[in-house]
Amino acid sequence: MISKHTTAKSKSIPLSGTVLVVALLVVSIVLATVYAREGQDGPLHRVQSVAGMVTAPLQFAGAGVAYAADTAGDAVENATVSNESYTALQQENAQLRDQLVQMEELRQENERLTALLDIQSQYQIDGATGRVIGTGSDAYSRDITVNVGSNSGVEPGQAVVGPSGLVGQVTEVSPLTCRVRLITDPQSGVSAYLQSSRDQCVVKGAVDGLLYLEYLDDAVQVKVGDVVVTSGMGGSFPAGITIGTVTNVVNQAGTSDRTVIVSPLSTADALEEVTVVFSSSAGDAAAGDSSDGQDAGDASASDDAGVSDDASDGTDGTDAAYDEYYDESGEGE
Amino acid sequence: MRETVVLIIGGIVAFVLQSVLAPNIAVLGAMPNFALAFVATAAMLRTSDSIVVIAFVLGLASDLSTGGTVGVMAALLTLAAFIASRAASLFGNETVTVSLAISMATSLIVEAIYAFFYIATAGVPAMDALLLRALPCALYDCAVVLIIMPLMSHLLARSAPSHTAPTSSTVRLR
Repeated sequence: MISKHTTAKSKSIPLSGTVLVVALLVVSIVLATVYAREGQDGPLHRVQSVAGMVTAPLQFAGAGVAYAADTAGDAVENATVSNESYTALQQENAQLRDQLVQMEELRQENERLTALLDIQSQYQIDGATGRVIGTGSDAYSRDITVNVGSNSGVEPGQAVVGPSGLVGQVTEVSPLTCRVRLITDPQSGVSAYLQSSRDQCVVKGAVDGLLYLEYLDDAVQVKVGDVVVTSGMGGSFPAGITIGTVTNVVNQAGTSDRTVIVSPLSTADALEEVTVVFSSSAGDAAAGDSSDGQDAGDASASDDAGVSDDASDGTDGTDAAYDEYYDESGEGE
Repeated sequence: MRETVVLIIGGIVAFVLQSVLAPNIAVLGAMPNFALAFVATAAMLRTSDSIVVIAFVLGLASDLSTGGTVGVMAALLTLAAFIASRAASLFGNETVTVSLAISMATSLIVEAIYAFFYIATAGVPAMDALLLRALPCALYDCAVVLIIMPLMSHLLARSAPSHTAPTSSTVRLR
C-alpha cells in the first residue's frame, strides 16, 4: 500500500484541506474582530489573562535563562578585564562617589524645600512591588511579565516604575501576574517635559528600541544630558517620574527638524523588581491643581534638585484636550 | 496516528521554545518565531489536515500567551502551513536548497503580513517594521528551519514506516 506521503507527487492538498484552511482563517478573523471590538473585560481578554498566568512559569524559566546568561557574561568580562579597563573603572567609581555626595546634598536640599512647601507627602507612591518573571516573546512588542496581579490590586493602565525611573504601563492583568508594556515599545507614548526648561513633549518608543522626544517646540533648546520626566498630563502616568536623559540630538540639515534620542534610566531586566503605582498624590495634585501648582513646579525646577521636584505641576484644566493629543501620539499617527 | 503525535509534540516544543528561549536569543530586537519555523517545516514534510489544525492551535496559543490580538497569529500560521505545503507539492524536490527557499518565502510572507498588521494597528513606520523586524525575523526563522528540518525529517520518516530513511540529511531530506 502506498501512502499519500511517500512521494512528492502525491502531496497535493485535497479539497477538504483547502476548505479546512479557509474555515480556520475565517475563525481567526472572527476571533480578531471580536477581540478588537470587545472591551478589556470581554471573554477573549479574560481568556488571554488566564493564559498569560498559566504560561507565567514558562516565562519565569526564560527569565532564569536570561539571568544565568547575564551572570555568565559578567563573570567572563570580569575575568578578562585588562589593567586599562581596571583603571578606567576605578576612575569611574571615583566619579560616581563624587556624584553620590552631590546627589545627597541635593536630595537634602530638595527635602528641605519640599518640607517648606508641605508637599513631601505628595511624593509617596502607593503601589505593589513585584519581580520581573518574563519578557515578551513577540518581536514586535516590548513587554514584561511581573508577578503581581489583580489579587494585589493591580489594574490595567497603572504606571510601573523601576529603581531609577519609569518602566512602563500595565496593559493586562491576571489574578497573579500582569503584563507591562515598556516605554520603549513602539505603541508607548508618555507625556513628559524637559526638567531644565519644563517644555512639554511626548516620549515615544520605536521599533529600534530607542526613545524619541516628539512634539517638542522647535525653539526649545535641547542638549545632551537633559533630564526628561513625566508631566502627569492625561493622567496615565504620575508626574515627576524620571524617564531618562537626552543622549543625542540630531539636527536635520536645512530644516528646523531634529531627532532627539532619550536613553531610559530604568530598564526592566529579568528577575529585578519593579513597582506598580496604584496612586500618586503628585498625580492627583497635578490633576486638580492649576497655576499655583505650575508656579511651585517652576520654582523647584530651577534648583535642579532632583527627579521628583515637580509634584505640583499643574495641567491648567486641559486634561481632556491633552488626552486626545496624547492618545494620538501614543496610539500612533 | 504516530505522525500526528509527533507533530503535536513538536508543536508543544516549539511553543515552549518560543516562550523560554526566543526572548533570550534576540538580536537587535529580532527574534526567531519557532512556531512559524516548525509549521513551515512540518507542512513541507507532511501535507495533511493535522498540520493545518496544529498550526491554527499553535497560533492561537501564541496569541493568548503573548498578549497580541487573538486570531492574528492563528491565521498567519494557518496560512503558513497552506503556503508551505502547496509550494512543497509544486516545487519540492526534497533538497535543502528548495526547502530553504520555500521556508524563506513562507517566513517572509508571514512576517511581512504581520508587519503590515502592526503598521496598520500600531502606527509604526513601515520601513522600520519591514526592515528592522520582518526581514531579520524571517532570516532568523530560516536559520531555525535549517536546524530543525533534518531533525523533523528524521522523526517523521521514522513515524511513517513506508518511508525510507534519508541517506544524507544534507542533500536529500527524505
